[in-house]
Amino acid sequence: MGAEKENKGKLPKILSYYDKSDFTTQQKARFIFDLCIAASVGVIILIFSSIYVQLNNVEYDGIFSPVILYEVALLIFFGLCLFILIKGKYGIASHLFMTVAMAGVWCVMWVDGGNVITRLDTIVLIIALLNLTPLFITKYKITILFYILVNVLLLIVFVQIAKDQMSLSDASAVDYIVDTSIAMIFSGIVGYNIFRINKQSLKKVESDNHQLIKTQEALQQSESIRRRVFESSEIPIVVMDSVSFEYIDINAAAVKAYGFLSIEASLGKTPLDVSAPTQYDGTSSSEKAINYIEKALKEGSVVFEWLHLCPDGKLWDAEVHLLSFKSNDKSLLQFSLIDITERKKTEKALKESEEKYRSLMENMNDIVMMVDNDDKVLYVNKRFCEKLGYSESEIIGEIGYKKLLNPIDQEVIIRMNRDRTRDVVSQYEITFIAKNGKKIDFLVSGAPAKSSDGTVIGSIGNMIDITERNKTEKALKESQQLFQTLAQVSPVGIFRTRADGYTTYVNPKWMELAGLTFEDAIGNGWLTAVHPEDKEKLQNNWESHSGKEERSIAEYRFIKPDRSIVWVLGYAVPEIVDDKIQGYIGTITDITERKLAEKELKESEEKYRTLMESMNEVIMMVDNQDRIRYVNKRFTEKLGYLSEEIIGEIGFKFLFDQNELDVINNASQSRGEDLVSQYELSFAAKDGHKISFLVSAAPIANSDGISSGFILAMADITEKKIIEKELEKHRNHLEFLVKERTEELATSNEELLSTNEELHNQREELEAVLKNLKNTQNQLVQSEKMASLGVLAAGVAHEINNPLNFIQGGILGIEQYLNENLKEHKEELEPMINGIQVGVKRAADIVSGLNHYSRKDDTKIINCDIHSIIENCLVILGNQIKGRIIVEKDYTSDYQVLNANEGKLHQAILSILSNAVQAISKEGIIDIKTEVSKKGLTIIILDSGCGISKENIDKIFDPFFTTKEAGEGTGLGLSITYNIIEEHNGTIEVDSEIGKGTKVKIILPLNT
Amino acid sequence: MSENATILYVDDEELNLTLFQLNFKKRFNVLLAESGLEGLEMLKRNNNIVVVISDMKMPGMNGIEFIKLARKEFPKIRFFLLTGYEINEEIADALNDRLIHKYFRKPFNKSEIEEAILEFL
Repeated sequence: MGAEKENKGKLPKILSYYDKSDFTTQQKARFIFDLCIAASVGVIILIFSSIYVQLNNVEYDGIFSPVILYEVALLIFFGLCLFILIKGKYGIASHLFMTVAMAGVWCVMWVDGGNVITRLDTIVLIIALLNLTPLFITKYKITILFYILVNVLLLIVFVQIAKDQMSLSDASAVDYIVDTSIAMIFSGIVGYNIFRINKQSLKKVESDNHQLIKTQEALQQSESIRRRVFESSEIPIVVMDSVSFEYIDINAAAVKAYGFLSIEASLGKTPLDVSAPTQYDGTSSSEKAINYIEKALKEGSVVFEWLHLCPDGKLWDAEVHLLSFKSNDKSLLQFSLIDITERKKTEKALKESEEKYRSLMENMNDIVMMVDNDDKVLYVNKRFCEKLGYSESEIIGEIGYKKLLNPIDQEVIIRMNRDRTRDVVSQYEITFIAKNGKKIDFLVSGAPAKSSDGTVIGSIGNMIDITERNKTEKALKESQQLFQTLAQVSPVGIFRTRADGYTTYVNPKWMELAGLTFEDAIGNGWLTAVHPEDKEKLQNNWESHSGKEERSIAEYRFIKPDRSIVWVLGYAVPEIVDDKIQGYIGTITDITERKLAEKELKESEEKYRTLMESMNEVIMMVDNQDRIRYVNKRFTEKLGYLSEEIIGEIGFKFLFDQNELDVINNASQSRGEDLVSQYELSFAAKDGHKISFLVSAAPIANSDGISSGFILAMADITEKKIIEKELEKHRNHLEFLVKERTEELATSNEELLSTNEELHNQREELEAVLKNLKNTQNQLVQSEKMASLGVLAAGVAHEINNPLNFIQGGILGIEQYLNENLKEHKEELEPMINGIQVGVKRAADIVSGLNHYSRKDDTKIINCDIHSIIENCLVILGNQIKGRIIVEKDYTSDYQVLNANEGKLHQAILSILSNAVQAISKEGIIDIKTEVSKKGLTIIILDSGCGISKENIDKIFDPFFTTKEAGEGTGLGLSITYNIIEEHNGTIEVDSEIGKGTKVKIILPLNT
Repeated sequence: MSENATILYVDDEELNLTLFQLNFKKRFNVLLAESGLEGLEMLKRNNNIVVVISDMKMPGMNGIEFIKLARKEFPKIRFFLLTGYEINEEIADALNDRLIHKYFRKPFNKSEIEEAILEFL
């Protein structure tokens, strides 16, 4: 092939027409060309030889021109062939040549005048020519047959014509024709087949060649694409020598990445020219690079991260894909770079952020826990481990709720976690069980944990231990409830303020006392109800106490909208939280009545004091130890002592003539007998002079009736004494004078006596006021007792009812069991069961009764008919009354409007009537009387029963006080009645005498 | 009656639960719950509950709070309270709002409860 290539190049220039022809044609054209030249040369030689032969051969006489002419013509034809060939008409040239050559041969044979053999053997040339045909023919093989046929025909014709001339026998002629024809036909067949085979192989070779060229072209094309890709790739690619490590090929992207100026400047560089001195782990780049290259050479490829350094000092990170390959038995390395500077930065930031959050979570006081979508624990923080006692390895990977929760709570948490996969954030309280079995309440804030693409991969919970908080909340709630209840039912007003005095709460009683609504009282509004005269006092009191941790007390007045004045006694104590005063809480008690009493008392005292001070008599008061309590102005004038000097001293030691102690002792004794006594006594004044007094002494009793001392009214009788003496002297002479004096004395005595009487009356009045005051105070104490009992009762009731429920449930169960299984024991056990059931019932009844104290009944207040209430009660008691007790009724017919809680009133009356009925053991009378007066409606229930003893009468309203047999009464009936009447602002009084009966008097205020 | 009706009793005292079940198991199929939360779970799990009786004072949610929640989801069930308390405002409100049908006092009266349930059935 190589040789052909070379020959192809050597086609003579003269044949340039055939440059584009196929290879065979080129070779054939060349052959024809050479043949034409050779034939022309041959003919020229032939011409000269013919001329020579003809001139020198005797057979020819001179030049035989036909032969020469013929040869010249032949030469001309050959030249023509050559010309045509050069002009590119190969086919015409070749056939022309063949035809001329054959025609030439036949002509020679025809014209030749030689012997037979000379003429006949020339036919060999024809056969030779026929053998050449495959070289001439280009396309049509059949042309060969045509040539053979023509020549065979010409042979037959030639032999037929020339056989006689050459004296050949017919047989020889035929033989010759046959032999020669066969020779020609065979040469034709040979030529035909040579041509055919030649052409076929040529075709094959050409097609192979064509294929080869195509493949080569494709190869060339792919090579160039590859190159283009390499050069234009955005990914930096470098090819490197595996021995010198020099860069031998590099693309533009790599040049840019390395920060080199051009591809040329980059070639010959080594990895060390583009790397940072040390890599991420601190090892030097050269050492590290050699490791990777060796690995790549050994294993084919390696991927790693590499820290690069640009000539301008910029550092950048790349992921290097290094691979080794062989080219022409040379080992090369190629690597591509992916810039991961950003990724590295992000990774670093991510790592730092993760670090930050991790440390945050670890150090957090809250408990953090993360689970995946299958509730498997992914993460817990340190605090979690501390709180719940599990180590990280014990809990991570476990199904969280199975390990940590009550089975009861598990479903809740599963549902919450399911919800979370739907992106639901939730907060709930749940109890965890620590490793040691301890239960801990948590407030869990759960949120879905998401991956960066937003899908929920689990759930993260932030948990706060609220065990303590729950306990505190519960306690707080209970205490609030207690306060609320207390405040609602309290008979005293309750208020609460902030530290600056701003009022935040007042209870109903407070509002009632101040006559303000809740809204009006809040803030500083309550001040509007305070009496203008008391405002300043209150303000001062407030200021002096504010900031101090002591309770303050103040008395002040409210003016209600209806202008009525209510006196209250206010207590306030600071509320201290964390050593700081948060505000004040206080109570106010209605002391109007006491105030009025006090005022009256004061006025009355004032009156007496003025009276005594302005009296002409000398007045002194001593206690039971004769200590002086009081002396009036006249006393100080008469005896010269200032009241400060004398008060508190033992009177007789100071004032009396020691000789007269007997008189005083006698007097003291008679005074002890609770009588008003009169005697004469001599006093020593401060300056020593003696004054005689006529002393009228009367005992002073306090409100309890116990003597607390004496009051002495003393009339100066010094003068009288002197006169008496004088009288004695002149008795006989001056009788009229005596008489006059005596009269004078009598008048004076009378005056003294009347003064005494007045004093006595005043004292009685004073006693009555004091008694009244005492009653009021007692009532106050009683009602406060009831209120606190109510709060206690409500709490106790519920707590007792639960255990009662156990007993009830238990005994019912036992009874049922007995009925079904142990009938034979039933009779024996019946009384015990009965006992338990009766016990439960009785306890429940008491508890139920207790509840009346706490019940803040808001049932309606309606206009009641007291008589129908009484009748109703009598109906209920009917079977206890019938036949043994006569009920007498004296109902008032006056019009009355009684607004009350009918049910409660009913309960109160029933309780009293029931007591009355029970007090009558056999037969008796109950007298019921109602009347309307200014005070209100009075109901008197009188029974002829057994009565109440003196020592019991004060206790009958106390809860649980009963004289009945155990089990017959709870001891609560009258106590509740008392409360009910109190609630209706009424009064209840009981009078009784053993054996005669009891009188209960109820007064209820009427609404007019 | 082909089968006993199913009722749910909620109380935080285990003794109460046990005794209640003992006393009523003959007449009813008694389910028990120790808290409001557990009661709700029971209701969700058992759709054949027709009557619920609950204690009032329980840790966590009290009886009325529990019934409020339960009633929203199961309006067809009849609810009762069984409590040691006297009637108070909260219970009275619940009665007025028809949240509960009736309230029973502790110690319980067996026939009263039975009648109330049977009346409903």
